[in-house]
Amino acid sequence: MRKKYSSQKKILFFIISYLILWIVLFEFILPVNEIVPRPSIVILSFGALWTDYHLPVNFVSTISSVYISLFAAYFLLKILTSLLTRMDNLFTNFLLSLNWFSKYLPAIVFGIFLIYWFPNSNIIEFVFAFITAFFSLIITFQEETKKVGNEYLDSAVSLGAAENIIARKVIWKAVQPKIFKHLYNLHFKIWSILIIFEYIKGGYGLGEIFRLSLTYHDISALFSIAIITGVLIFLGAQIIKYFQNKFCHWSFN
Amino acid sequence: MILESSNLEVVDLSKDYHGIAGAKLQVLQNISFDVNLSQEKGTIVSVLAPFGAGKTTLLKIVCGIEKPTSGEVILTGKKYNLDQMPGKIVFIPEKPSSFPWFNVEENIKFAAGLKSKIVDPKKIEKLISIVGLDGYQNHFPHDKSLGFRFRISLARALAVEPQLLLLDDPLKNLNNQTKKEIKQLIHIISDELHTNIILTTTNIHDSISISDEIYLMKKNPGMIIEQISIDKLKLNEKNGDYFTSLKGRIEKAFALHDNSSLISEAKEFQY
Repeated sequence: MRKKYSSQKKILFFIISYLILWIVLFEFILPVNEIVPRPSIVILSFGALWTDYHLPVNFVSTISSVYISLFAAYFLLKILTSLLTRMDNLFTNFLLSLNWFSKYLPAIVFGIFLIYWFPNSNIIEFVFAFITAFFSLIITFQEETKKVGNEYLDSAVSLGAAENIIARKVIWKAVQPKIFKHLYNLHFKIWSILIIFEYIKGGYGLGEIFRLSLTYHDISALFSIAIITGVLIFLGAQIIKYFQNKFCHWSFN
Repeated sequence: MILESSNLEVVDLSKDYHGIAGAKLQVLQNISFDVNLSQEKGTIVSVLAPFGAGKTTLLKIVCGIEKPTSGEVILTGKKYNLDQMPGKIVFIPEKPSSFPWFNVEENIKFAAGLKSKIVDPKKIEKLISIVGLDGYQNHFPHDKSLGFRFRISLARALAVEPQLLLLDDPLKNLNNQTKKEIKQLIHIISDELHTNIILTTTNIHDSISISDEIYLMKKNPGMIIEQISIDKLKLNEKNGDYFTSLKGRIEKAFALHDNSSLISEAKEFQY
């Protein structure tokens, strides 16, 4: 009988295979080249990243911008739930117009304008990530609010629940799984646009390390920072998944 | 039809919807009935009607979720208003409405918290026990049966101590065993907690077996066509003659008052 493996195990198997293939091919078989560096050189370059590329400060800058903005956007949305559910059509139309713009104008274009307007600001990166995350979440919230089952709303209204209680304990709870799902996907998007933002703006952040390693033509540093970025995004995604499982376990059915 | 002693009076309720291109669709027409809420035991009233007759709309109007086009609902002498009399008339929808994000206890606490800021744990415990969910306090409803979820909705509704419970087709889609249990539970709530209940159904057998009074409602538009009071003593006689005669009377009433499509639907009732 064939043994069944979970998809996660299969993915892990592939990842380990790529790693082994890289080590075997580029450490022992193929000559040193400018396309893919030797694993031993990449390991050595982690030290250089720490000293020459100021990894700690850049690391803290990007991590804080990504996660503080995401969590601030999430909690602000939660706080505003009661207000948002009572918003009139004008506000909904305003959000829809933003949604329309976001389809044809990528968020990074807005980021470029911010860089132009505030070239020397140290917090503009965070502001950019926060605004992107918040408006993305608020649009999802508005869309998902319309889908909340009437059976829940009718029950709550009939029991005599006030609007703010319905907003917090019914609507917010009902849309929370969708918000978390969106947050999970948004997390990848914020990472991407923030690295591009930092790359363009310069100053601090992992994007700045990418820019410097390109400037110095340092393939091993590029590889190292790519691995670090990948691991960080993976860990971040796992943390969001953990909270999603903790708060929305009832929706996985 | 309106009696002096009645506590809930539904007076000339009509409801129109405006469809495509402004076409008027009359869902309910001059619905009037009354329920005595002051009896020693709670009264169980059922509204028996075919699918699409406007039963849910009627219940939603009675509990104040929807506004009628004309007519009014009077509760103990005053025009009923949901905002001014919250929790007096509680509606339990046909779809499972227990909140899946709360466990059994939290669902009931949600409602109890609306009644008073300090929630008495003994009250929650008692309600859980009444609906037969002892030991399931921490269970979540999302992966449970319809019967389980209905019990939660019922306990949650009782937590606000309503004068009147409105149950929208509570016996629909239940297996025979669960249906029997839920019927017993409805009787317990009515007899022991003195809670009055109006429920809707499309099933003649359920309607006769559970109610003290039945209102027959036809569709297109929804109208009350007959009121039947059930004699429980006669109903419990073993020969079943009373049940058969009631069933015949109901079928005849639908056949007399409705068009042929309704008669064919009436034949589809599950006995």
